[in-house]
Amino acid sequence: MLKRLLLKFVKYYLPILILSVFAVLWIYQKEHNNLTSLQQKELSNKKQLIVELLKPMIANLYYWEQYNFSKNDFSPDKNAHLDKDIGDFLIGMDSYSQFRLINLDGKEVFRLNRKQNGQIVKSIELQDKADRDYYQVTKDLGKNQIYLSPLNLNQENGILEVPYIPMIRGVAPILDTLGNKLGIVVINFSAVKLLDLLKKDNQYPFMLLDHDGNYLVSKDGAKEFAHLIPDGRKITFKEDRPQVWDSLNTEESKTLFDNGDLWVKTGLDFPNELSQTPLFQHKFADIKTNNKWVLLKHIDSQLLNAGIKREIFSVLLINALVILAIFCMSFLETKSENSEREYLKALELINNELEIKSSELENKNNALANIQNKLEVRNAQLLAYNNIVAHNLRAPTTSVSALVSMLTESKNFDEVKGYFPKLHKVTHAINTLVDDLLVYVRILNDDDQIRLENIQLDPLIMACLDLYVETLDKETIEVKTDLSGWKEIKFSKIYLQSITQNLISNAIKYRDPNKKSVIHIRTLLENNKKVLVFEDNGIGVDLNRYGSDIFKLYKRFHRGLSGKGMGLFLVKTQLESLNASIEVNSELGTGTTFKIIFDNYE
Amino acid sequence: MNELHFFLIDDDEIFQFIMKNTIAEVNPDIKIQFFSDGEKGIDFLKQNLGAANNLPDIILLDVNMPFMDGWEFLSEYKSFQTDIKKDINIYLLTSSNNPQDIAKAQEISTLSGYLVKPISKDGIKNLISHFPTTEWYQNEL
Repeated sequence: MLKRLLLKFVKYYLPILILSVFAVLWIYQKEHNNLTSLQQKELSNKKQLIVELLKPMIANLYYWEQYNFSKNDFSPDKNAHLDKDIGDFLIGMDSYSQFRLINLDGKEVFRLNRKQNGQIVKSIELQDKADRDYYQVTKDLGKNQIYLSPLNLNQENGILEVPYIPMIRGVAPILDTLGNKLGIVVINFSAVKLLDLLKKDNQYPFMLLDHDGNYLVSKDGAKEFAHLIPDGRKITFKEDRPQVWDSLNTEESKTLFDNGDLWVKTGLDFPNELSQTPLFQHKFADIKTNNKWVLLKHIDSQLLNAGIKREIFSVLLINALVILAIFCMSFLETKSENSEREYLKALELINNELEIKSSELENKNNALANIQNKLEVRNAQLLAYNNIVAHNLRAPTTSVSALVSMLTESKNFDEVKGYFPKLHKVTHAINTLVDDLLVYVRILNDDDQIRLENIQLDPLIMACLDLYVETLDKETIEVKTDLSGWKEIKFSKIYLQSITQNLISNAIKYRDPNKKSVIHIRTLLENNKKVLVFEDNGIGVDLNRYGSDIFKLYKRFHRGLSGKGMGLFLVKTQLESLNASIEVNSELGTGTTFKIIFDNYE
Repeated sequence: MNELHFFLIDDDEIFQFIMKNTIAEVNPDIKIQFFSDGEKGIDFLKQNLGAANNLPDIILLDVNMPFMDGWEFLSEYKSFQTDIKKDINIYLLTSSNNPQDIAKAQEISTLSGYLVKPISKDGIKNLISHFPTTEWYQNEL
């Protein structure tokens, strides 16, 4: 019951489960795709923002390169006339924090600073930058070459300015009209505003990394520029997440799953991106920079699935409801199936009972039919008995009484003596009749106690034929047996012997002396019944005349042949007492066939 | 009137002897002739169809006989009855007073009566006194 219920449940629920799994996967996929494309778009916007903010810087550097500075301009004593021009320029450019001219020796010759309040101040103090990396990289810049430094922190006099000011230096060479190099122009681009813009409005943590995996922007502020800060934790993304870093660098992939977290990446290759600006496009200038950044979005697995939690929850809820419904349905169905099964079982039981009853009834009917049959036979036998007593017994007894009355009226002893042989004859006849009647009555009485046994037919027939061995010499009478129909039967041996003996004796007695006699004994099966046939080519009997009398007691049809008229009567009686029957077929001059039919004999 | 002529057709020799004695006692002049079965009786009658002198006035016919019994005799007799030049009364003799046998006998038109054995002297006298008759005759027991 439980097993069937479970099976049914699984059968109904499995398709729904599979659909649910697909639905969840689909939702998951869709959500991820949405998220990824959204984040990619955001990163792309940020990239655009960086590029757009840097573009004026390049234009300005180009401008100052083309400014036609003179040799005097690189002499701090003689370049005061620049204050106004450059000061006016710097005021408008609120993200430029410094403007400097550095001579070929690496010494500053002109310097404007933007103070915190936005005021532009000319610096009296000029520093020697000959040792600084950006000077080293840019001192050999050729004509029209523009350099952008990595994003790093501002230093003054070789010391990091605190609070840290992230910045990019833009450098361009300055040549006089004759093409002699005078020095370089350096503009500090403060990235504070840029980084603020990049950090704004991030639903998911945003990271900006340089090509070495250093954090330029991170959720964790302490990690930003960690590579530049002396004594700080020199922590880099590369060390934080080496696997993710490797995957992001080696593959061109724009998204990456790592431990359930989603990483969305956009690369920013400065030379590549800036080459689209008209200045570089038309070869007026040339960019020189190593800046290669990675813009990264990190979506934590928990946050990642937060968005689809509601959908998953509704799918689960639907599933739970479906499970409940299917369980109820399966339960009801199983229950109804069970009751149907029980009903069928009960029906079958009733059917079986009915069948048993009907077969019992049939058996009883058969038994009744058998009994009726037997009663009919018995009735006929009793009638025969009645007839025998009425005719055959009454006749001699009346004769006796007649003789006795004559005897009493006798006049002398001689006359008396004459009656004795007659009396003797009559009493003898009575005795014979009574003896025969006894044989008959015994058969009628004994039919329930007759012992049935398995009889081999062949030896039984042979034994009977042996009784007539002198007559059956093959010359005058030939006996042919063919027991191919059956060879064994369960019957009374005594009766079968007596029957066989009587029929063989009859065939011998009524043979036709004018031809060679043949007696055929054979067995066959007719309608599943065993049949034993005795056939002769003797003188035959006119059945039209004697048909009904042939099996009756003391009936004789052949003048001159000794016969008491008892044999066939006994044969029939014995067969009938054991539910067998006998039929006769005969024609005068042709022969007689007796057919014994055994009803229901194994 | 000539003395009566009897045929007794019966295979029972003792009964033949008894009837011979009984009839002789009633009237020694009554002629009686015996046949041991129906066939022999029929054969004799067929050979003497025209010889009225050889034909009986009364036939006492036993029912139970070999080769040809009383019933068979009667059906055979009927086939040549019209050729017989004498009125013959046939009485069926039987040891049984079975009503079925009597009823069967009454159906047969050639029969004049039914006699149940034994037949005494008085029975013979009575039979003779009723002879010839067209009515059904039956002795009483």
